[in-house]
Amino acid sequence: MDQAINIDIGTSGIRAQLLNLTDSSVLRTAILSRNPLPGANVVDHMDFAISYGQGIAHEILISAINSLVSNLKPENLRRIAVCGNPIQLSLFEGIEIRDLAFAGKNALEKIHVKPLERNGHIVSGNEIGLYADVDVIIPPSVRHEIGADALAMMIKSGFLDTPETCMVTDYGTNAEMALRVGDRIYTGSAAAGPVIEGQQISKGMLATPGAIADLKLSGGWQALVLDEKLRLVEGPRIDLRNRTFKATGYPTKGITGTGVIALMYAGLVTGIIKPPHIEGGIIRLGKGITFTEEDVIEAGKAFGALRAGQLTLMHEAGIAYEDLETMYICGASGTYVDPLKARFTGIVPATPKRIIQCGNTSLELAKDLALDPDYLSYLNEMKKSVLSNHVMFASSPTFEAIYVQEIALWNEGMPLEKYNSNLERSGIQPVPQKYHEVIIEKKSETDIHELGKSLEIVESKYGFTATIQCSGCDTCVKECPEEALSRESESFKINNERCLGTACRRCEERCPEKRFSISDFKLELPESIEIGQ
Amino acid sequence: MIRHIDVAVQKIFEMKEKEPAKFKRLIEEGIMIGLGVDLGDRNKQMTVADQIKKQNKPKDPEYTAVAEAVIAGDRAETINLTVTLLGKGKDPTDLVLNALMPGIQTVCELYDMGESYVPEILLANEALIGGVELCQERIGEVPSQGKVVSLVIEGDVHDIGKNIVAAILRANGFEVVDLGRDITVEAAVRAVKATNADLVTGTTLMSTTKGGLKDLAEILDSEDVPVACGGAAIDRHFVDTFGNSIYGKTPLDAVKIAKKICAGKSWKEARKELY
Ligand code: B12
Ligand code: SF4
Ligand code: SF4
Repeated sequence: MDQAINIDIGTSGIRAQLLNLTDSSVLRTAILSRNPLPGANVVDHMDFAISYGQGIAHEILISAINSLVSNLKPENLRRIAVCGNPIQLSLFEGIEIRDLAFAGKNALEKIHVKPLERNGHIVSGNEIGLYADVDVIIPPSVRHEIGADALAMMIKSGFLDTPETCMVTDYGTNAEMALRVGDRIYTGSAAAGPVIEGQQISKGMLATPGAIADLKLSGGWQALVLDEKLRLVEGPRIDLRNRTFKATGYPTKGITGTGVIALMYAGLVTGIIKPPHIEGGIIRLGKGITFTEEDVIEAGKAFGALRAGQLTLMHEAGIAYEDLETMYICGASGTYVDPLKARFTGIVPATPKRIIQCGNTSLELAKDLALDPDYLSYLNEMKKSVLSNHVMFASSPTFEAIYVQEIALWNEGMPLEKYNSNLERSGIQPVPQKYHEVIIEKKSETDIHELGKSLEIVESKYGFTATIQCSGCDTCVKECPEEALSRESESFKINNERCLGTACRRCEERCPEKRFSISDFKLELPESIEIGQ
Repeated sequence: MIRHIDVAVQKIFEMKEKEPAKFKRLIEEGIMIGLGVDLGDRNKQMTVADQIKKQNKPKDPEYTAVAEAVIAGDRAETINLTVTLLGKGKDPTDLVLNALMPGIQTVCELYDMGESYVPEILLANEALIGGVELCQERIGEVPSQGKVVSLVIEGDVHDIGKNIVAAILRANGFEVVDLGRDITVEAAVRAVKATNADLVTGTTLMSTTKGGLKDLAEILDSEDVPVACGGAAIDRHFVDTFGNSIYGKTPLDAVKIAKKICAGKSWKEARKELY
């Protein structure tokens, strides 16, 4: 039986599937629940690559993918197809990334780097360091902030298949979005940040067991927590008004992006959260798990970027908000979020008549390519048409005018009436305060549509090690916010998956003896690829 | 009695700033009413805003109109009024100091009280610049607390925070030369020399670009012009890894830093006094 593998290289994790080419079915799925590169976001990943050498970054990523591939135990493997944002795909392929690492042409001219084309193409596995020497299909990137993952979002959601005015958004760190009006497609990327994925929040975490992912009302607020099979089960009961909780149900560790959306919703409807403040200062969700005013501000910055982006696209396309018929919401958060709560916080527009939740489209596009590599030429054609109406939010006065209102709304408590009158003053339609009746459809219950016979969660086992002669005060170890650093007498080890990378460096900065230097750490690859649970 | 209430109002406003949540709760519990100061009453709240406006109001009614145009963020009107007054032979320096600045100061004070918001400061700032530029054409330099060059460092285009910082510095009487975003270290150094600035404010929101601020601060060391560094990608620990720099988190920190540096303090002294 001929087989192929499709891989979604995401900033917060990598998903791979083994496909049966004879009947196009999924045989097995393996995922790495974190991206192996140090850093909390793509820019950190690039910064790591630039500071430590792109070769090392490429090696880490490729080893992780090699271990995923061997975990899938392919036989008669014919090809591998990948999908992801331009940065992850370039790190994977081992090509230039500096044009993606710096925005603005002055910096690029100074270092003599021209932006690459990044059209869709095929390379051989060996060439890029994979053990499997098969064709590797790499889809095109439209621009540096609109990648193959954004094409996937448009193609696999159904956004391109209806004649009506519709919008699609990937509820992830980069917040790619597109609006379709007749034949024209307007695209943009609002770079909302990782809040929607549960990062950047004091007790935020990815969607793993013990994470609060939703809240429901049943005689008070009831937290819904992911159990070990990632099903939503009842967790603690939360008394928002009295700032207490009852530790019943599944034990909690933190809160995911969709949990943040649900909590912000609950806080806003009850009036406990009046941005940027929380009545009483904090919300207690569990033992040692609190939601703070800083978190409200972080959530506001991300929510604001999403709405500012969506309103900018509708403004540029010259449509009334009421014209929007359907909204497609994608990404893991788009799959698991309660759309009505999301709409209340402003990150889903108020006006569409249908909201469709779509799951992980990037993995699905990689699957299409793995099944039919000729599809690549269609994607390259599509790239051209998408480019013509791309809206660069970085140089859009409309985006800036709206985002400034969002900052005031969330961070300074400006009333919505003022928000709206300021928008009108800038010639932008005010946001509707009434919601439409809406039909909600779910394309798939889980973000991965089809898991096949088994799902394995793989952990990459290698790290960075160094020998440091010092007093062993352990300040560095204690200061690490991610518990990524460990010490055994003079040998120190950093778990690269957990480490926040160059954006953090707390271990180095806080060493009282100035002995700790990240540059002394060397990558330690395992002798043979180890495969975890 | 009147004095007594004044003191109470003052205390209440202190609380509003420092403990907003408690403040709101107190209102709900009716304690304010017990004190005889019903702050929930819209009219009285207007009085406070009006009081600020009144305090800053220029005596000359023609100047008042200019100040009000700035407060309203009406750039076209501000420019119109300034042109007319300059035409009438008013002294440009006097216009800046006593008509335009009181306008922006009002907005800033209202902002500090939570009675006005960032979008309004930005609009008022645009109006102010419109008027100041006209006056500058006549006299060259306008009197200021000091000269600050503001920029977003090379490789980064996130300029909303920088715009807010520049506006608030201007509102506090500093002359700001806003270079824009994606500014190379070389271009920044040239601008600092050309303008004879006292201080640079550098912003960055990306991990890949924060090194640029370090380079800039180190090069400007020989010019004796420190770099105030801010933006979400950095923190105090990072900024403390290099000299000739001071870290700030908020636009208000930028004002505090500028005040120290323009009063002749060194970056080391500024750090010591502000951290
Ligand atoms: C709005 C936004 C954008 C807008 C920017 C619009 C503009 N004209 O500025 C748009 C959508 C264009 C954008 C684009 C990108 N963005 Co962006 N963006 C954001 C977002 C959502 C908010 C940033 C912001 O404006 N904050 C509000 C302002 C007011 O805060 P501030 O700048 O920090 O300034 C305040 C203080 O810091 C202080 N301050 C500022 N300067 C100074 C100076 C001194 C001296 C002092 C004392 C104080 C001070 O005062 C300010 C006012 O309170 C953040 C995510 C987030 N949730 O924070 C990402 C974020 C900054 N973006 C990011 C990225 C990566 C990008 C892109 C490179 C994405 C891409 N892959 O293409 C692009 C690059 C641009 C391009 N070429 O297209 C990343 C950076 C990651 C990192 N750690 O490096 C972030 C964190 C999101 C993420 N992905 O994680 N972005
Ligand atoms: S403290 Fe050090 S090891 Fe820990 S996350 Fe930060 S950089 Fe990584
Ligand atoms: S903080 Fe410095 S001295 Fe202390 S254990 Fe770490 S490296 Fe050694």
